[in-house]
Order: sequence, then structure tokens, then C-alpha cells
Amino acid sequence: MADCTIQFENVSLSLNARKLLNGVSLDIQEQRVGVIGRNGSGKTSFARLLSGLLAPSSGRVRVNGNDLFKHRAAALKTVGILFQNPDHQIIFPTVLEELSFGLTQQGQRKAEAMQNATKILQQFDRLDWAERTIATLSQGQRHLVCLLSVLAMAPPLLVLDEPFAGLDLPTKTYLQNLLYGLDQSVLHITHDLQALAEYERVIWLEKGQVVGDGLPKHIIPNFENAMAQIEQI
Amino acid sequence: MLALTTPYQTIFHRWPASLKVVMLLTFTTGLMLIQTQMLLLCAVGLPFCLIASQGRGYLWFSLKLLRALWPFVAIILIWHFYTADLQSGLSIILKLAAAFTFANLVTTTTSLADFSALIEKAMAPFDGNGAQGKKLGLMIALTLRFIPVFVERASLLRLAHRARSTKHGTWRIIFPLALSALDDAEHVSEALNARGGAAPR
Amino acid sequence: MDKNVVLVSLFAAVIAALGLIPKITLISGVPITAQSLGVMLCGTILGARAGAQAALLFLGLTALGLPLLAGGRGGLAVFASPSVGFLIGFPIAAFVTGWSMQHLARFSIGPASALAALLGGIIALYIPGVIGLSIMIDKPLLASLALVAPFLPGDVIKVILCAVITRAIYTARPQMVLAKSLQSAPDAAAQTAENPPQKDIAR
Repeated sequence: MADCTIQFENVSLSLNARKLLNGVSLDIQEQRVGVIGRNGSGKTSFARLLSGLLAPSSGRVRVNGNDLFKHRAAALKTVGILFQNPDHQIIFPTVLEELSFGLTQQGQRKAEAMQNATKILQQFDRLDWAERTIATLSQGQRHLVCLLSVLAMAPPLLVLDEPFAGLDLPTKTYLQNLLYGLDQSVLHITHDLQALAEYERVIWLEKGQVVGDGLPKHIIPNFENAMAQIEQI
Repeated sequence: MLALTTPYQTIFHRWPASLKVVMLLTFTTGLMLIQTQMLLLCAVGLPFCLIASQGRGYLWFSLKLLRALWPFVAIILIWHFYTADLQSGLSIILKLAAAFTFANLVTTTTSLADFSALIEKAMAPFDGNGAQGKKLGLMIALTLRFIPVFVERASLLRLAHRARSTKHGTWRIIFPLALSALDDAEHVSEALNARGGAAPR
Repeated sequence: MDKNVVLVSLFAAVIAALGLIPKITLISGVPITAQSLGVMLCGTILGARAGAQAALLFLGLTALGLPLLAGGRGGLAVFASPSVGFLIGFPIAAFVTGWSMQHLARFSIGPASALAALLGGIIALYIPGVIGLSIMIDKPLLASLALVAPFLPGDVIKVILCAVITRAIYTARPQMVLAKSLQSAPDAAAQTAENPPQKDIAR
């Protein structure tokens, strides 16, 4: 299994006078980590800081010892992030082009990138998808393309920002099982508490701060109770 | 995204794109300069002979494409009927049809990939480290990727409108469509950034 | 700049998608398409440079053979047709619209975009359009102008629509103030992350 250490040292993030994260300190070495919280609790900012897409207003974020915001080349080799909507992430009109893109970004030559992209399609038994246009794929299939494009870059850490919302049960189960069997470390932000049952650690964010951190069997019931008691949205 | 190619195989499919484009430019320029009737008739006949040499199917296909010109043909015919100068009217129409048909010949026998390769080659002397070419390639891909997305979104918007109104309102969808494009741009540029950005490494 | 690359590409796609909206026929019997409205919007929303680039990208793809023009037309042949002047006018129209918009920034959005769309989407579009037409069908300029005159009322409607839509866009996304002050991707992305836009329509 790929090793990955994540360090947040007293991290705060403010944008436009809104405090999105407030003094978050975490040391993460587990392979399967879940992050839960209400909308607006800072989960997405957390994911973006982790991937090096944002820099903290104060504090330090390090993944495997690297500052991923400053060192984008290292970022491409370290973390792959999956967002919620495939239509917001798929850039190319055909599957093979999409998969090859990340590889050329990592420095591979075009021919080599296409070869490796074909390999990963083969690995997941989707060789016939190579020439298909994205427009002909279903939502679940597009989610898979997003996952494969990130996996093709072989990052040790996978950050998932609610990637399976809106999918039907069989598709979601399929993709989640796929995820579970992966070598890389996975940090999964989700509203789907069931999916986190087998994870090693769950972090609960509320209003930009960590209010819960531990085993799923402890954190999730607390979270559910707290959510059930909220009377106003 | 279907390019305007033809199901009929022709010898022109095998000719290099650069050759076809140069031929087209030469032909249309020459056509504009021709003054004598005889020469005009020969020149106009050229694209049609080329097409006819490839079989009835391709000929018929190409002739059908000419339908797009009918409003202009009608205007010219009517005009020249009134000025009693049908001959020059006909020569204008023939020139138009010939240029149009030659251009269609090039388009229908050249794949998108071939055109892209031609553009890359043409840009190469001006494009030091390949950065501009890469950016252009990315932009073409992005546009092709999102055309079907916006087309589908437009029809969904129209459905949503129809579900709440008896009026046409086809044009009411333009605002939400443009807005969604702006929003999508935010997300896509983030996704692009997450995978290294448009700049070469 | 990543953001620019994406905006230009996406708006080129918007122009293409607008070509597929069914034409509306005016009382005069003249059909009007939404595509030139898309070009005007590229100018008012993206500004001169990016707007022109979007229109140019759209034209380039049409030239490569994609049936992106209203009516499913495309390929090099459309540049050999009498309306070639209007096609060449697209990027010019977008540029002039955007340029006017940037110089009218002190006025309120509605009138500013109406004036910009008028200058760009009608005047700057019709000049090359009429010239091109007159060359291709070998008729005097004034005659060609008379031939396209029936389309003017439709284009005036588009100018008004452009103003309405542009104002709505600026109201809905106040942080997206004209292309000249495009925010960098991370800032804007984080903003939209914490203030997510309305539900995805495409779901």
C-alpha cells in the first residue's frame, strides 16, 4: 500500500473576509480517512488545501513533506483529486485523450502517454472506451473516466470531494468497491455515512474546525445525533 | 461531434491536407480573376469533373450540398431578370457554385485530425517551445468537449421552461446557458489547474 | 492564464450551441438565429480580446468542417458563400462590442451593453458583411445593404436581448466584472466552492 503522510499545522483559510477554516491541526497517516460535516463546514476548502490548489492564510499544509501549493510538479505526482461533477472535470472530448492528458502534464511524451492510458483502460476492462466520446457515456461512466484519469497518474493520495453524489445504488456500489481495493491512500469527503463504515478514521468538520476525530463507530453516531437535532437550516 | 465528412470514399481522401488547401486557395483566387467566358466555363467545370470522377454517389452528395446557396441564387436570378442581364447573373452563380463545391470537396475529404496536424505544422515555425500549439490544442478539445454539454443543457432548459409556461420562450434559455458556462469555467479551470494547468512543464 | 483559456473555449462552445436553437421567424417572414447574439455576449461578458478569441475559435472550428453554423452548416464552403463577410465579421463584432463595453464601464450595465452590442453586433458586423456580400454577388454596396436590411429589425431585438441578458449576468455574478479583471483560478474557485452556484441544470 502506498504511504502517505498529511500534516496540517494550525491552518486557517480566509477568503473575502469569510473564515473558511480556523486553526485546523491534523496529522494523518491512515490509508482510509473519511471527512464529514455540513455544507459550508470547510470540507471543500480542506480538500483544496490538501491538493495544493489553495494556499492557507496561515499555518502550514504538507503532504509527504511537500508544500503542494508551491511545488505543482510534486503535487501532480502526489495527489489526485476527484470533484463532484464529472462535467466540471473532464476536459477532452474522447476518453483516451482525457486519460492521456494528465500523463503528458507529468512529462510523458504523447505516444508514451497514450500507451499508458490504454494500459489503464485495459486494467479496468474498458479497452473499448478508448475512442468513445464523453458525450455518449452515462453519468456513472463519466465518474469512472474521472477516476481513471486520476489513477493513471498514479498518485499515492486520492482526495475525493463528494464524487458519488447523485449516482444510483449499483453504480455507487461499484465505484466504491473499486475505490476500496486501490493501493493508494484515500481521503473521502462525503455525506454518505454508510460508505465510511470500514474506514480507519473519520474527521468531523464544523464551521471550519475539527469537532470530531476518531473511529467511524464513534464519530458517525455522534454526528448523526447532532444532525438530527438541528431544527433550522 | 460529427465533422462534415462523407461516407463515400474518394481518391481525395488520400491527398495531403496541405495540397488540398493550396489547390482550393489557388482555384478560388483564379476564379475571381477570370474574365473570359470560355475560360470561366472550363474553370467552373473543374470541381464538378473532379467530383464526378469519384462516382455517382459522391456527385449526388456534393450537388445536394449546393442547396445551401439557393437564397442567393434566387436573389441573383431575380435581379438579373429585371435588369435583363441573365448572362452575367449566370456567371456569378456559376462562380459561386464552383468555389462552394471545391471548398466542400476539401472539407468532406479531410478529417479533423488531418486539419489539426496541418495547423500544427503551419504554426511550428512561429511557435518556439510548442506552448502556443499546446494551448490551441487544449482550447479546441475543450470546445469540442463542451458543445454537446451545452446543447443538452439548452434542451433541458427548454423542457424546464415548457413545463411551466405555455409560451415559446426559446430565447429565455440563453441567460441560464451563458451563466452556466461562466460557472463551468470556474470549475474546469480548477480541474485543469489540479492536473498541471495549460502551461507546459 | 488558465482561466482565460477555459472561458474562451467554453464561450466558443456557447456560440455553437446557440446555432442549434430553432430559428424564430419575424412577422416580416425573416428568420433570425441566436448565433450573432452569442457573439455579442462574448463581447459584453468576456471583453474585447477574449470575446474575439472565442468568436475566432468558433470560426476556426467551423472552417475545419464542423457543422456549427445555424442550420448545420460548416466547412470551408461557408467561406466561399456570399455570407462570408458576416462570418469574418464575427470576431470583429465581438472585439468592438467588448472594447466599447470596457470603455463604457462607468455607465450602468444595461445601456452600456446595449450601445456596445449596437456598435459591435450591428455596425461592426454589417460593414464586413455587406462588403463581402457585394463582392461575392458582384453588386454595388448600397444594393447589398438593401438586401440585408430585412434582417436589421431582428438584430435590433438581439441588441436589446443582449443588454437584458448581460445585466442579468452581472447581477448574478458580481465578482465576474469584465474580462479585463478576471480573477485568478484559485480565488474564484474557492469562492464558488463556498458559495456554490445554483443546482446543476444539466443533471
